[in-house]
Amino acid sequence: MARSWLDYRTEAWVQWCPGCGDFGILNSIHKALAELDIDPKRLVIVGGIGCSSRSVYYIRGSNVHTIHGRSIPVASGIKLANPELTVIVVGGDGDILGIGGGHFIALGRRNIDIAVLIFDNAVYGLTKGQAGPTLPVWVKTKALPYPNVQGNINPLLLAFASGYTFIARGYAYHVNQLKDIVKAAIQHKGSAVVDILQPCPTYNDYMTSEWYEKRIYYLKDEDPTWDPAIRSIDEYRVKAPRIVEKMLEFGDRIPLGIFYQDLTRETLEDRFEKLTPGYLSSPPAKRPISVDSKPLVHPFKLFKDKVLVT
Amino acid sequence: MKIPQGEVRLRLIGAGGHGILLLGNIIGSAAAQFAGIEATMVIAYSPAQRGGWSRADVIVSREPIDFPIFDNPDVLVATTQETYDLEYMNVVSGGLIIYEKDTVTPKPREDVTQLGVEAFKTAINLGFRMSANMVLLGFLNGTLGLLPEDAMMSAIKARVKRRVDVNLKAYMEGVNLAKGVKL
Amino acid sequence: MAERISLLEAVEKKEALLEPGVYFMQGNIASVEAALIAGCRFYAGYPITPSNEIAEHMSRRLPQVGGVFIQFEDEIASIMALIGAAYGGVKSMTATSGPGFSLMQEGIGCAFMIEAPIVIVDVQRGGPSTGLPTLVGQGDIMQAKWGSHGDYEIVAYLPSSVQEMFDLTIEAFNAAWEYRVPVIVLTDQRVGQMIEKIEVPPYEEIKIVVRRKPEVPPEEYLPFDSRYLVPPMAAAGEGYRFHVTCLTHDDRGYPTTSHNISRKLVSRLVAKIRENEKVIGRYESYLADDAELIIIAYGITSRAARRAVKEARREGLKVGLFRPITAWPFPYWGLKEHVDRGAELLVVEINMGQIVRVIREYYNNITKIHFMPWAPGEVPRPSDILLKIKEVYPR
Repeated sequence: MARSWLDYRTEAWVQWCPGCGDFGILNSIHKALAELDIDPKRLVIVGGIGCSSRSVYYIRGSNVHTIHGRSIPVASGIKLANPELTVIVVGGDGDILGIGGGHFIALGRRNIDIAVLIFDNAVYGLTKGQAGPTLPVWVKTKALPYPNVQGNINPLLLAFASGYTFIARGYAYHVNQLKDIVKAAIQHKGSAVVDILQPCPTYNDYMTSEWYEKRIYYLKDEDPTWDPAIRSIDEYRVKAPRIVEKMLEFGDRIPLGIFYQDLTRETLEDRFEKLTPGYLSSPPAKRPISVDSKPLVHPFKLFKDKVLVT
Repeated sequence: MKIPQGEVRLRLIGAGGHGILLLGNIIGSAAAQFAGIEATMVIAYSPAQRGGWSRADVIVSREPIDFPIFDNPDVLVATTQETYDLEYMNVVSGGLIIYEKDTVTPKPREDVTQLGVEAFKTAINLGFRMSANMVLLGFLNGTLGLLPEDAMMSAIKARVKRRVDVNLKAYMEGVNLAKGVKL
Repeated sequence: MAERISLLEAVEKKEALLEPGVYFMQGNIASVEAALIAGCRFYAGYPITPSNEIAEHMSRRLPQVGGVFIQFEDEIASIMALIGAAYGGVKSMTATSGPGFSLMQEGIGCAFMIEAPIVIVDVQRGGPSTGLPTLVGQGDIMQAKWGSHGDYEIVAYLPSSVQEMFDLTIEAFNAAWEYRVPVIVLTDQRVGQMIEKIEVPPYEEIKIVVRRKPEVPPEEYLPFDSRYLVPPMAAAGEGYRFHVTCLTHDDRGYPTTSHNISRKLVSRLVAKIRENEKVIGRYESYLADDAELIIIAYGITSRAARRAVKEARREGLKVGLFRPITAWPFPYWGLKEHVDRGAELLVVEINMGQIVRVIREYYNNITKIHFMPWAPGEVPRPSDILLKIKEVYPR
């Protein structure tokens, strides 16, 4: 019997402010997981620190709530130890693009099969509204005494430059559309990122739902022929300029949807399989290392004289 | 020189590419793996990134070795004038210096024995210049009787990656050159 | 069923470990081979001198035993990936040196709080800061214990030979998985990079600790079950659903601000080590029984000290050596009988005073504690120590 989205809830009390965009995002994740019928026992949600990272408590899985900014490395460790798991990273723009920015870039170039969901509200909600890395310059939200003097990151372009093979943007209050995007991100084989625009009604009084809803539109609605899939290098050459142009668009109009999905690049797991045949069928998590508390062994005679290093 | 009863401290030094570290590894390996005694080795490099010297400080001993680091070797093997000049005064009184005759002009030290070997020439005659370090090894072991021949030969076979036969031959040449040398 | 690979299959897959025997091997390499024998199948790290041989050798060897080697973007990512691998059910390790070890501190605290068993080899170099990348130091002793914030206990070994790089790395893995804690092999540049004779014992003599898995049905599983001192650990994908967090948490792994739960949690976490300090803590004494002056030294320094002790004895001075094999927990009890009969202490270490503070903590005002600080970059020679012995020797 297929699972319902209710099967992915947990008994934990959801601790977010009323009207928070996180509710919509959580709901779309629950629904995406249900539609994909992912076994909660094979699901891992990893979060850092921040309001949104608390989602790890609200989704049924074997979940790790780590320290600030470090969810991507933890997720990478779990996924590489056991590539059979479905691994999803949840976190805010501050967690993933601010303090964890280096790890975000590195995941792209590795192309590990992990979906990164950025709950992007441009502020640090948990610490009462400081400017996040996606808050535009000269914007003054209510917690800031003066306008923001730092510029903002473009998460999509950063992901594109880093090598992510699936790049999308969603909107927190469009639960059904977001669910479809999250589904596609989870299904994608490789590093996927979804930048989820999300009003913070408590601290971001500039990028409000009204502000967003005046600007957002779906790529597919504007251009029904929009197809983000890249199946060959030629297709990449033809499509890349238009994709980048759309990624750059963030102002009076903000496009949503799947911008880019590269189907040509192998995952890190595939590369390990090439390097170590058998990696995918018997990954480290499944290999016995001892028998009766003794090392599990096959002494490697050929190796004996080669281990010595000068 | 008198062979020390406890630890024998060897300092091997030469230009990068002279196979100094391999030499140290073979001595240590011969002692530890094939002669069943103790050995340590500490490596140092000149501060220059390339074209500098490398140094292997090896101790072989029948007893467990307390401290692998030393300042004054019992035996010095030097393959270049620069490294010879750097180290010849450090050798203990009553010690031994073995140097490459082609490249080193020895300096006076009355209290140590100094022996020159034409290791490069011997190796070139064998058709493999890179085996000069094996000539030195053979000469060193032939002179000192440091370790049993078969332990050295086994260590060479285990450690040398290319042209084992020539290297073994070079080693034996070195041993032959040491015949008749009196300490 | 798929969980089990037969021995034969393992052989075919070349699950190849270093075979028992005598080797002439570098300390860093010995640590790698020991880790593989202990069951390490995941390594994440970032290049740093003088620990690089560990990563290099791991990168070659791990694929040969079906493991994963990955170079990360920094030491922070590396240690966090180890925590991830541990929760994937895999034994994991990293190696670093001073600056990288500093970057790992928050992750070490996280591993302690989340009870993730991981092993870190810190090949100490000269500091402070970038200091002397290629030369020896022993300045990370206190960082190993106090580097992360909050209350925690750590296990740190102090190998002094290549043989101990091998033996103590296996022990480090065993302690990590026995107590679900991060464990540090706190070696130094000299011991890590020296080459020495070692003996790999027959495998029947090597004990390997494996993860204690939960025996309860999944609905009843608690990742931080406080009925145990060390709760059984489920790995992701094994059928147990769980939340684990670095926040203060209850037995279910949910965050809490309850003082009562905080007290219980932190008490249990530190008790894992404190209650077992005499099981974990180890030391070695040499000629200490009748000594009037006992030198306390560890790592490479202990080997110079041992020689100095011999020379002092030759000159008729009753000097002995106390060598802690674990820095943390510190085996303070091993000194008690000597101090009680009036022996004075002389601490020699390649720093400006770290273990000496621990000695003072236990024996200040009970006996005289002498100290010989030594700046990083070089190891004090036996003659230097002998000079100090003569200076402070009780008359």
